[in-house]
Amino acid sequence: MDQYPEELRTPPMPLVALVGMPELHSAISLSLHTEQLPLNTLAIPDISKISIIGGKEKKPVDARMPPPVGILKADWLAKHRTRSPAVLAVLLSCEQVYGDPAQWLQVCSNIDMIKGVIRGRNIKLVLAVVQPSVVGEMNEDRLTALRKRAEIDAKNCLTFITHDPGELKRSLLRLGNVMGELASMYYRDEGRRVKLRIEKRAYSSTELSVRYNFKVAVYAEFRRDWVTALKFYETAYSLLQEVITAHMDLQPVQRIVELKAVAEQLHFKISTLLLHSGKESEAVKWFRQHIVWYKRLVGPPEGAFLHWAWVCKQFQVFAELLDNSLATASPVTAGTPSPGPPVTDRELQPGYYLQIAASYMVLRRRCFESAFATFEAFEEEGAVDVLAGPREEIGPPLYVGQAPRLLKRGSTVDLQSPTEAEFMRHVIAVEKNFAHTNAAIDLLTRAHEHFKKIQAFRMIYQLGSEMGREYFNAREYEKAKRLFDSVAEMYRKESWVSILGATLGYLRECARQLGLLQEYIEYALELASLPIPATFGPDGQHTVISGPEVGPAGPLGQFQREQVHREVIGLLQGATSVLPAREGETGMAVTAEQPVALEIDLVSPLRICLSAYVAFHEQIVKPGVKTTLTLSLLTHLPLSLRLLELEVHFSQPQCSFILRSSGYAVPENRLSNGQGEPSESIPIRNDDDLELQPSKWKRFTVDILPEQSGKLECLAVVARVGPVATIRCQVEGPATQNGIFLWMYEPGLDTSPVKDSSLAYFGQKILQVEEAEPLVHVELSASGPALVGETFPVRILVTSKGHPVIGGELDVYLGAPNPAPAATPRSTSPVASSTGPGSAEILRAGAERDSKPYLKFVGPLQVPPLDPDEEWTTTVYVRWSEPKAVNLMVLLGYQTKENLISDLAGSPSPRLRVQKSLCLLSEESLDISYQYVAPFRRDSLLAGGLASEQTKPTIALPLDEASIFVVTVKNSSSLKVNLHSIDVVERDVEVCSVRKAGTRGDIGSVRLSPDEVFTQLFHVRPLVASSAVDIGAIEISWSREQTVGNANSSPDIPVGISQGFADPITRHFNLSPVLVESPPLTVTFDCPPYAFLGLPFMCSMNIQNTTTSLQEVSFSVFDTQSFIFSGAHSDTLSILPKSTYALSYKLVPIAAGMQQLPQVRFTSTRYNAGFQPSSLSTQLFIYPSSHGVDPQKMKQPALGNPGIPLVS
Amino acid sequence: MAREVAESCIDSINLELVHTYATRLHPTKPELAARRIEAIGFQVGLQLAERYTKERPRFGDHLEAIKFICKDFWAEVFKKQIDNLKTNHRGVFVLQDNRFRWLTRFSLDAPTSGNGTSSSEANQANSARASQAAGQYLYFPCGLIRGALTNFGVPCAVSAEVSALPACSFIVRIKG
Amino acid sequence: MIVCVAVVGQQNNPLYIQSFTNGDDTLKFHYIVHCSLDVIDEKVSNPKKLGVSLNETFLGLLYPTEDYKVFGYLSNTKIKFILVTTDQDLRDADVRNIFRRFHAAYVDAASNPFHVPGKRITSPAFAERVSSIVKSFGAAPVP
Repeated sequence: MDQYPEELRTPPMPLVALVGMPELHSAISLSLHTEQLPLNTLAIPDISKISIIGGKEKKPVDARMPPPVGILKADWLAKHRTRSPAVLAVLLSCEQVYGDPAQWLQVCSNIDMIKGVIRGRNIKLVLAVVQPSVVGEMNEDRLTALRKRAEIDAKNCLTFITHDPGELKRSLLRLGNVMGELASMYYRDEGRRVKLRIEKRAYSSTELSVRYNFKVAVYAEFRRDWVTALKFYETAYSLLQEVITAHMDLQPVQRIVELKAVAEQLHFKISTLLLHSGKESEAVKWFRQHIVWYKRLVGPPEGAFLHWAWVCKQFQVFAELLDNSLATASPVTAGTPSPGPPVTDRELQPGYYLQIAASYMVLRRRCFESAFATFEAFEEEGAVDVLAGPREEIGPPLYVGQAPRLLKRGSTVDLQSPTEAEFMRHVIAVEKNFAHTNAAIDLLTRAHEHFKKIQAFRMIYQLGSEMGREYFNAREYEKAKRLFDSVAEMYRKESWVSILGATLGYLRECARQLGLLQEYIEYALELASLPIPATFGPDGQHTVISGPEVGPAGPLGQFQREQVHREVIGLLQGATSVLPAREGETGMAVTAEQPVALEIDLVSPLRICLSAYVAFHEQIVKPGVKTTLTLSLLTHLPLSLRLLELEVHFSQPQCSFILRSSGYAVPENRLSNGQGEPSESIPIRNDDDLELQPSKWKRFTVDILPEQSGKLECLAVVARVGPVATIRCQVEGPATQNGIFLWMYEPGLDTSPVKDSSLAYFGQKILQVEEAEPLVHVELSASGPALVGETFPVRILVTSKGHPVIGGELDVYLGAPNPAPAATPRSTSPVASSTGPGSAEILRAGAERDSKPYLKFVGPLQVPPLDPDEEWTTTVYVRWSEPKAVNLMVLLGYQTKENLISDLAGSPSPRLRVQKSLCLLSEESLDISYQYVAPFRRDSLLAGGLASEQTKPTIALPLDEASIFVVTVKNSSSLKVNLHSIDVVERDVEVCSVRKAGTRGDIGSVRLSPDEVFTQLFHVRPLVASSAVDIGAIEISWSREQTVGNANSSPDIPVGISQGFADPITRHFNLSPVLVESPPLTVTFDCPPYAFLGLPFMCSMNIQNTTTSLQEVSFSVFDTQSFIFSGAHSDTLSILPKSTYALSYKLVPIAAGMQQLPQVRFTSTRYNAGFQPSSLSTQLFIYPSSHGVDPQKMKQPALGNPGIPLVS
Repeated sequence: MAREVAESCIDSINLELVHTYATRLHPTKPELAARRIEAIGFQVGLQLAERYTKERPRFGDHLEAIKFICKDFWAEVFKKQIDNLKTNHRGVFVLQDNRFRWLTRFSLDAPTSGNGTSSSEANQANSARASQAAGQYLYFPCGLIRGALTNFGVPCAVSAEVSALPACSFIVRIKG
Repeated sequence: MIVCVAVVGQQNNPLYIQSFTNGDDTLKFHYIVHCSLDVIDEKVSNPKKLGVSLNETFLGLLYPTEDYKVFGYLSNTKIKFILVTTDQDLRDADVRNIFRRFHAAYVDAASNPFHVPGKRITSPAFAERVSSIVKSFGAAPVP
């Protein structure tokens, strides 16, 4: 837009002229310029210079006139804006007007001259008499005379006061108003005059019509009548189209250039007016039409570039107009819908036009290049560009859009015009200096700015491509490459393969030009591997993607990919070299001096060229155990790719290996150079088939032998394509499926790297290698169940099965008896708290110097160094305080010798660990129970015992009576137990005396089989009456049945293990307190030890009253069927204090055998308590006859309970 | 172009699908079987979503998409609508079908407890067994929902719960 | 006349793109279609400003290039359909109808159990159908 002259770009301002009194001019100009309707002022200091505003006389228009040589006069607009005023203001000082006659005459002649100048041009005249103040010389006659001479109205003749600021202002205002009015009138009159000419149609050429309409429009613009202006511009524009249609056939370039220049000017005006009135949509539509209409007017081919330059300019200018308008105007108002397709948002973006302008700029360059080539070919020797001659010989064009004139040639326009050839020579010379690329890039950059504002990223990338192409064209390969690199990223991301392919073609070419071998190869590989779709044409045929945009790569398609593939693989194999960028240079090649090592990481775009996936078939293995690895390679190159070698790298280098194609002989120099070749130590496996087929998985299944514990990760594969060309490709696990970006959307591909679906989902590229299997055996042995209280020995046997044991530590602890061993041995504390303290504890045999035979186990045991196949044993003891199953866990941590060495070398030395556990059960060895028994057939009435019967059954013993205390010991374990002694330890002899019944002092050692019972009797004589007499405790000493030397009984237990069993174990059993009271009544039952059937015998019950008061006792006797007797069945007796009453019955047995005597129940009236001898003590054996029974012996107490003396 | 198949075919194919993957192909890897059945449902859901929304305006938000699943989509596939839709307004939706078509013919072995015992306990035990047994027949519909929603641009995770046969509910958790 | 049709996937990746001109200018349409995705994004992100009736699948004229007009259609499943035509004056109703048929063809192609969702469409039947839709639209001469 800036290339337009000022008068075209800005709206016109009316022009007025001032003459006379130059000292006032600047003040008046300023004032006029700031009027509501600003006026431009042409200040003429001296009246003698008045002629500069003059012009030629208007000739009447005549139809016979030849058509004009141009449409719009080139300087017409400028003239009206700078030289041809609408109003002329003549400033006269009051001295001149009211002064002496000589001055007055001068004034009159001046006015006459002015009138002469403005005559015929309709210029309005204003007279201003300047005087310093309001009060001053006034001469009405002179003023009237002046007015008459000037032939103006009174209102156009004013007085201008200078020396009073207020009056000056008023005067200026008045002058401004008058001049504004007159100017407006002038332009209207001029407009009318021209309009009249149009209406009269007094001419034949349409060109003139265009010109007149243009003029009317301009006059209207002067008046700020935009609507009229727009109307006439539009008319002019459409009339111009008629002109063009009339002369379309074979127009010379100059003519077309002129027509389009006029059209451009008209259109510019229209656009400006539309946009200024906020009608963006209208403007866009008008512009659309403009382009549609004029785009066809290419003209002769040699001048095509001029046309495209013109079109380009249209777009550029419109973009600028739009930009200005959008920057100033309010947001687009939804205007009334106008005919034609709606205006899209994009069309209101200046960037949109700038981008199109850029594309025309490119077209302009192309057309110019071809035109220039033709021009050069046919150019005559020594021809000169006459239009570029000396300045004074070249005249500016007379009409808009015409060529400059050659003034030397003659005086008429026809003669002055250059010939077509001269014109072409000139424009080509000018165009040659035009920097098309820079202009295009400038346009694109500006478009880029605009699109950035609306975040149209794809458009921005397209602009980037276009810029890149321009730079490429200008051989600025670095810049081009930078741009293409950035746009390629976008197209990769959105998988627009076709566009990406074209971009890569450019990039490859840039790399070639810049001599970047590696990048050249990378771009070529990517280009070859692209999934260029096989498009189906309308006729169903396989086509290629083509167009001017594809660039140096050529039309994209399968054939092209194959070509690129062959070329780049040949290059990698060292067979071919790249075409040199410039003649005379040698092309790039892959050689030993310039090897190529490509790197494909997980996000590299080259993953489509080669990608590798691995899956270990197992997730966890033991070291030294073979596992299987599936390695899958995929290439999308269009042709098969034969690899020479394939190195597979692992995080543990010793696992790495090479697959080598069997036909490949490693060249000598590679073996010898050594540097950077760690592969020499890598095992090599020969594989016949290292050929990758396009888009087909190549799967290798190999065995891996991990030896080191920890993580084993497959890191990368290095494919050797040529002798000195490798591609290193990072590997992925099979589950990561996003890898092959661009081929992701391609149907019909086997996408899973591994066949096994489970492996595909869960396969990993990392293998967890467990710690080495410890080659040390730990054995725990114990002899069956343990018994509570004993020190139960457990033997630990450490046997080395191959590993030397260094620095071994043995930790022993108890755990809950769950079958699974603790997950991490170290994490649990050595004494597992879950079993609860006290239920079991670990002991260790005390050393000789220790006072105690067993010590609590603390801390790990040190294991002496063991050589392979040596063994070491130790024993720990476990003592239970209650029966419970516990897990005895043993953890052996050790190092092997090798580990120690590697420890010195600085690498971590893992301790190997062995864990063993043994579930140990403990049983209660003896089940102890006891009871108190009253003396035989002697019962005491114990009121306290009876009274408390309701609350809690307390054992009550009679005071100072020898009760019998029965202790029963039962072997509750599953083992044989030796019972050494049972004693009652009295708490206090003064309170209660206990003595063992029977004559045998010591029972010696009684062996109890499981469930066998042993009973021991004691006499208990309480000596103090109390409600809670603590008798003492039962003390039992026992030991496990010795099985020493008895191999049969427990074959698992090695000799010497049972040493802990030898010592007898003493156990105390506290007796609960008993109630002791003195009985008020004691009943002693007396009867013979046996009787004979049919023989009567006496039975008596002696009731003794131990109190000092009379006791009433009632009794009742219950019959039995075995005896008949006489006497009272029930009665109440009174027993005197401290006396005994005997109740006797004579009984006759009538049945033989053990018979129940009649039961007697006593009830003490005083204590309201009854008691009955137990039925057991009231049984009697009846012999069938007395034969053979020595009656003498009947007196002897016999049978049962020998230790209990009968009290009589 | 309306081509139809008998409904029983669909029922059978669902049965056979579960049987094939869960029993024949991956008897030891129930997780893998579930994933593969769900993946099939996912694809079907994607494709059905494409078809059923052909003639309707685009959804404005996630809720509209879910409602579409509950009404039109469910009606097309199962000839009834979802009975109840609940949401916590934080991306979790519960779609309850009181009579899910594919569970209507589902029967369990006779309950182990006698008919005399307390019915609530038996019910509880039964529903636990039912959800276990019916669960694998819901991988496919879960995939169906997930596929359709994913196609509407609603990335989500879908799980199912069986409360009392033949009712079940689908829990949709929208991601992100 | 329709010179190019394209189906663009959810990730803005081309699923199907076919031009119907005789010239060697295929790639140009790829650029045009790709850039039109920007306009679709704009329309979807602020539909009110651009006067698109809310959430209608048919997006109308996206933008004109100098020689073509680009129309867009966005399905519920974020599949974009793009038409490039040479006609200057087209009734929206006609274009909408074309898109409907086009969408139906796509749905049928995508419902093919052997079609993996999200992948490029290579079905010849689909190509055939699209081709016949394009032909039925009227073969105005190329300007």
